[in-house]
Amino acid sequence: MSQKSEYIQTETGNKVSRKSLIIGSQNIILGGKTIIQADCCIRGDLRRLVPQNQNAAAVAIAVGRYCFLSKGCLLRPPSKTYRGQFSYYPMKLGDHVFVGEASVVEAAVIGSYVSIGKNCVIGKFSIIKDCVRIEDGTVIAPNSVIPSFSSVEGHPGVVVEELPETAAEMLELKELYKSI
Amino acid sequence: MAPKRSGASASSAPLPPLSIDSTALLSDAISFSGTYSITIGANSVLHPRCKLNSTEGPIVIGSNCIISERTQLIAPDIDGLVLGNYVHVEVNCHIQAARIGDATSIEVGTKLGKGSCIGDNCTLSPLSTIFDVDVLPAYTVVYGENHRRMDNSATAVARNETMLAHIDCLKKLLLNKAEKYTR
Repeated sequence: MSQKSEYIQTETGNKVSRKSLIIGSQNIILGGKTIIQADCCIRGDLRRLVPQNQNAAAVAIAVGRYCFLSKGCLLRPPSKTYRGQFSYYPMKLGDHVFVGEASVVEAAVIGSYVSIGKNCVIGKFSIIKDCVRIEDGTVIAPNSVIPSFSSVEGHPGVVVEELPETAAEMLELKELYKSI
Repeated sequence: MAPKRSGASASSAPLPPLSIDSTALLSDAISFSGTYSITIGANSVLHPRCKLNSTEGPIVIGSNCIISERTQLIAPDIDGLVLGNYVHVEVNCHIQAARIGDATSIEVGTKLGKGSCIGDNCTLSPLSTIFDVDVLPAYTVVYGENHRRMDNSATAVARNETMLAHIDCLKKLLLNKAEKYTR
């Protein structure tokens, strides 16, 4: 019973821990059925600086369906100088993305069926394609691109193995969502 | 009553003596603890939920620094912890260094041991660990499994300009709650 009341459930089935820290929630989109555990931090306030005339709602972080953000992980939009203007840029997570405990994610795009282990650091503007497994303690360099069906490990992270074609089934998180 | 997680509320333990420059930006829920003084220089930015602990000695942060969330700055001894100017400390760092030089960039999850000394213009890559009382000369880059090399790229000036642009951007995005701590 106490486990159940730890989470606030939204209309689209997201379960967000009361102990998580979500800053700038107006700039965050959760696709539904996403679980956010305690001590997670999502920095939606670090949004793109738009010129004053276009006052459109800037999305800082978009998360797909059936994502799982474990305890103490951090999603932080990446930042860089482009055309002389320093700005943060939006970050996009696909469906069935698992982020392990205490990992820090500053990627630009993460595809679907991606599993990130514990204590990983995903560098600024890295792009991770679909069906990727990132082992515990991996550090992915900024601006790197990780191809589909790869397993990444090390400091700096390199592709050590290819995943089988059935990887998407292994990395699906529907059962994990039902267990919480 | 359960202890409040954000250490900055009026009901919790008294704040250490703070000297905050009027142009510095302090976000919400920064935790200050200890009894020695904490000085924050001009134009520096502290993200929400960073922790500064001055129980053992004073903490001095120079101008144009960025301290990210969940980073802990702990003064190692009575001589305190001194950060230079243009220092960028990323998230999840645990810092007990004695001195950090100007324009040094400390990336995600770095641990600096007690009393270590980091020179000017150093770069510490993510998850690197510096042992107690270790000394890094200026322009050192720490990467991979504690490998070291010298930075010959001569990009120090450009990096300082990027820091200024970054601080400018953060000042537009973050709310300044500095008056909350100085009351």
